[in-house]
Amino acid sequence: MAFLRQVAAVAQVRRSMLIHSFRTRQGRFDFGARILTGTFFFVLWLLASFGEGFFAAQLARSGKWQLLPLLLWPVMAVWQLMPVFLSPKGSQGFSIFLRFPVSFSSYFGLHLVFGFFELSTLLGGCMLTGIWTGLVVVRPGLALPAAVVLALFGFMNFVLSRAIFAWLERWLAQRRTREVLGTLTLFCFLAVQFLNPVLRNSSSWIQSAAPRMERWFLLLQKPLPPGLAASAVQLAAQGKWTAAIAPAVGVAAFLLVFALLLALRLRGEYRGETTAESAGGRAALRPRRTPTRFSTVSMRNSTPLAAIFEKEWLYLRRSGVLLYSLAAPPFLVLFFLSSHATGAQVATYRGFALPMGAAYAFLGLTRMIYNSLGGEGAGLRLYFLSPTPMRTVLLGKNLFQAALFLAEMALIAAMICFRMGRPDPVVAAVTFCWLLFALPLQLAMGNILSVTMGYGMNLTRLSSERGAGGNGLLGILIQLVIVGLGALAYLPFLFRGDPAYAVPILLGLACMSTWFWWSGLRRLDRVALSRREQLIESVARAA
Amino acid sequence: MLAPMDTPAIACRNLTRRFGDFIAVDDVSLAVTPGQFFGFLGPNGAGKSTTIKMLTGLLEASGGEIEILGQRFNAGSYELKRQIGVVPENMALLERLTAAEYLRFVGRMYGLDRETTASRSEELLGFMGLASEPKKLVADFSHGMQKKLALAAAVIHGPKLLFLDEPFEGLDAVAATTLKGMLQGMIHRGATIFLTSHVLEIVERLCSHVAIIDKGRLVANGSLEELREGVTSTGGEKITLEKIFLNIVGASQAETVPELSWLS
Repeated sequence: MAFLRQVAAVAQVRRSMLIHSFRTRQGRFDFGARILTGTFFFVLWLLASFGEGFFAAQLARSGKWQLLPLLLWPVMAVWQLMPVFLSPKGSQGFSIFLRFPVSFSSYFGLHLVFGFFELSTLLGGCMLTGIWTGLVVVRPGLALPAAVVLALFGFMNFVLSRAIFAWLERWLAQRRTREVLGTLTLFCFLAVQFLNPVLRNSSSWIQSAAPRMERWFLLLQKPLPPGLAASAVQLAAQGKWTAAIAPAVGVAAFLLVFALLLALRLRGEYRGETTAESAGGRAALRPRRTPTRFSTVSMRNSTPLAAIFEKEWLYLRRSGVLLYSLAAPPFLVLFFLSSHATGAQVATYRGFALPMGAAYAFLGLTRMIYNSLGGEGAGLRLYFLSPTPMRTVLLGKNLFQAALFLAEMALIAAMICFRMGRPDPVVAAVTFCWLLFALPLQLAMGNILSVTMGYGMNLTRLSSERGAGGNGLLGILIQLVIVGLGALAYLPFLFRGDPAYAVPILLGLACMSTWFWWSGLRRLDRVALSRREQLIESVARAA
Repeated sequence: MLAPMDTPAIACRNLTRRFGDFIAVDDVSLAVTPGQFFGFLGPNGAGKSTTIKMLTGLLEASGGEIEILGQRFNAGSYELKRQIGVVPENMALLERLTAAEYLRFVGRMYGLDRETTASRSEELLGFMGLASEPKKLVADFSHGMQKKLALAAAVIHGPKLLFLDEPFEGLDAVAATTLKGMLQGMIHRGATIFLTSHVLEIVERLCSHVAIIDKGRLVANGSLEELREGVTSTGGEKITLEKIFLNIVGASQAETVPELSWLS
């Protein structure tokens, strides 16, 4: 009863917070944006659920039960990957309940209960419902056993996603583990890089070995959750009820293990453990090399601009979330290169690889550019108290963002050159001109959104924050428009065979966007001062 | 530029701040002379922090005028801000920096050169007892340590005017004594300090002038002696600031404490 009362209390608090968020225009916009993105994903997954249901029905009709895991693996993949891309609420906000007499089981339960309302859970559940419906339409007798097994499988996925997210957040919050994860990611990059040539050279062998590999896959995945769930349904469909219990228990065992992993993580939080990287005595006990490494990135002069640049660098180094978002675009480009930059496809994609890589490079900086004040927390007040105008603060941040973007772009360009050879000089020139247009425009729009729609950002958590929906949606829309404008200037000439004609157009646009950025920077000082109360409210108080 | 001695360090006329229908600060006028240690008191929600926020540019005034060091002040008065140090209500710390990094950042934001910032921040860290954990991030500091750091940041550029919103909250006795010494030293060197605090003993010991705000309106303003004159002493008892304060804003409340049904 006490737990139910606590659940009701948390639900009440969340309801009140939602209602209060409608008081501001930004809050209403943010809610609208969340509804919009939620609907988009829901429609997408509804289609996927219909697909899964259709194939499940076909499978049940033909009796090819051994293929059922092929329907369950995508569900599991989507369920586990989605939280990382959609940034769920995670454990954000729950730690404040520790000041109340909440038992660990209640704390754990609260995580689970409110996790059910995450988008990944709803969508994963949708896909499983699709499979269940497809099976039951053909074999009504499977309604109960399939429901039990799929529910178990779904709950296992739900707990696993919570556990992965909780541990990932924990690891990204600390410098040492972040470095280890960074190294592992680098190895992954290299592995993927080598994987593709290996696969390409062995394509004939792969074709001949494909049926054998499929058999191996189906055999190896049997003891894993999708394989076990599929076995349980298959055995139930064959009327072997007793035999079906064993794989179902196997799924339950996985569920238990993942629940224990999650409990282990939450136990740490429950005991008041801090995820801050300097926490604990170890850092303090280490021999001191220098009092601070502030000077290692020093610029020659000591203006506020240089101070902001240095501060941004320190913040980036200490934020696993920002480093993670920076690492994602090169990884996506690498993935694209590995899957499309083979054989004859190289010629087809050569004209697009560099411009697309440039567009991807911006993705990693989206949060940094479009909510550049969000990570300051209470420190935002300092900018309004100090004699440094906000335009200088934003200029310092823009210079840092531009430097980061150029580094990211250089890495992506190097990867493209390595995989596809040197790009066509005209394509390179067009891409360069598009960057001259896109970068200032992104920075200008980012500055406007940062000042008018900024929100408090927790740099140690992957969780999404209040206000992130509206800002994120607008950021993505603006990026799409910028990419679209570039495509409009480039593609017509590319298809006519004169892509070089896009260069003067893009240079003209670049001049306009640079002027827009520079003049906007000057005006933003006034805008920031007039909006300082709302900005402090949404950034500093949320921190 | 130094303001002439007869020009108030802080002067506000008819300062008003509304939040919708609610008037948080109502027509407040006061003047603080240079070199004065000025205490600004009031019960919770009286409008102290709102007033400080308006005086330091964090909040727009709905009405009235502010002059700082003899010049009209608004949020865009950057040259004036160079001469002001502030410890705001919720501090203004960048939590993902170490104490040294933060002080160096603040120093440079106030226009100090790198060498001066480095030497002053080192000195301040030692003075505030924050030098022992150079790698610890501000986020991991205790509330008291954060308060010390906020104070250090407020004085790193050597301000002529210091606004302190509850500076002693969360400080241990040793740190509070050190801080009091530092503030008195600043006053002796000609700085002006505008302080709010709920610790009336400290205000009484430090401040030469006190203003009291209640429900947004200024209800008392003057030197301690002037304020004492308005209160009658019973049986030769010393008139403390607490007595003055209670007499002005909440004597009746303090004397009749209501009982809570489930605690009685």
